[in-house]
Amino acid sequence: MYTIHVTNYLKENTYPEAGTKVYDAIIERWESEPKIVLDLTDVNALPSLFLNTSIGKIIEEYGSEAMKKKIGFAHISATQIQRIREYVEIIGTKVNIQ
Amino acid sequence: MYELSIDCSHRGYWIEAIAPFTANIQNIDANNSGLIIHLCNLDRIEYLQPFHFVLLACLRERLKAIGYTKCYLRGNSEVKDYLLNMCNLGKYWHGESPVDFMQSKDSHVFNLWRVKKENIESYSEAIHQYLKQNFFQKKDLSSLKLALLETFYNIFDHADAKGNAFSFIKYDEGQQRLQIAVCDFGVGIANTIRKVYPGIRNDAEAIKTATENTISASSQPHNKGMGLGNIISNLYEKDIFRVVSNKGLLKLQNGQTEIYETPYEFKGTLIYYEITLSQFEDEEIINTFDF
Repeated sequence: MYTIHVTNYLKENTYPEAGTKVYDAIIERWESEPKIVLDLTDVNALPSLFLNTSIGKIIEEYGSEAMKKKIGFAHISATQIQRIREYVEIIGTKVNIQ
Repeated sequence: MYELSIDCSHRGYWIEAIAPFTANIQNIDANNSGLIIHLCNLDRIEYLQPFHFVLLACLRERLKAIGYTKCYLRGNSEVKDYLLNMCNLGKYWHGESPVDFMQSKDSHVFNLWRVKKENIESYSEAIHQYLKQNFFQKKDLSSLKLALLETFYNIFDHADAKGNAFSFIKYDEGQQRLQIAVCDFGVGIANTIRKVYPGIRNDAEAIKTATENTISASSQPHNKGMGLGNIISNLYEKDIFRVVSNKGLLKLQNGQTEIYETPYEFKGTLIYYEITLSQFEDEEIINTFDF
């Protein structure tokens, strides 16, 4: 299992940039790690401009089911869980239509 | 010296006065470089809403850009004093170093802010932290920060406003409600959406389309069209959400969306809405989550 501390990427990058760097970190370990955990300690917002360049891109490439199996979350608020669930459903549906 | 009278007795009159004036402004003799704005029927500070501030600011910014060096406000003295001294509006356009933000003396106001891309995240975080520390320590206000981020980024992703974008936020402690207004004098939502969806019938339909989660102008790599939808999803049923842009107006409340075609054309986008903060849940952190 590999843990990515998202706050470290947000400290020095905009949300879209941080999302891209998180995506890169995920992709680097996609084949080698059975599970990749996004630790959201000190992360108080997950705007679409972050999600689109991170897990949204993962969904586009691998599909939402593959993303759900591989990616987990740590220290996440109940609100963020709801947000991510809704996001994955919307983007997953959009990807399937295309 | 030109004069513009704005009837403040109804919200719509304010926009109806500013929109055509702004559209025709280039035709005005630039040698007559002064403008007097009469604020009519505005005799109480309590009647000032965030959208008044941002529309006035965008207008003033446009005037300055085309060479109007002088702009005077006429109206109720208490209201004028509030605008010019409590909210320091003069500092934004005068002097050698006009400001992008100046703290208001009113502690419930997040004063006029010239929206700049490099400050979006720090500004949104500052509002989030202020409300959390002073009024809602235990609440999870992350959705509020999310709504603010989406609102501000919308300008840079779609508007092409050339620096003419302002926000104003006011906290109503009695109602525990945040009132947010953001305005830009850019191309307008309808024009942006039409580039991607040319078959849309009118500007009101275009605005409604822009609020749907799967619709995107795809103007940036990070933009997949969930901005306005994300704002709306955080609203309480009684909260009101309005957008005025081009020749369209959208109003959302209690889950019902109404759209109208306006008799005037507004070259830009005005978004103003309320968020009831007391409806947010208490913060709850879960150690691990898997789908």
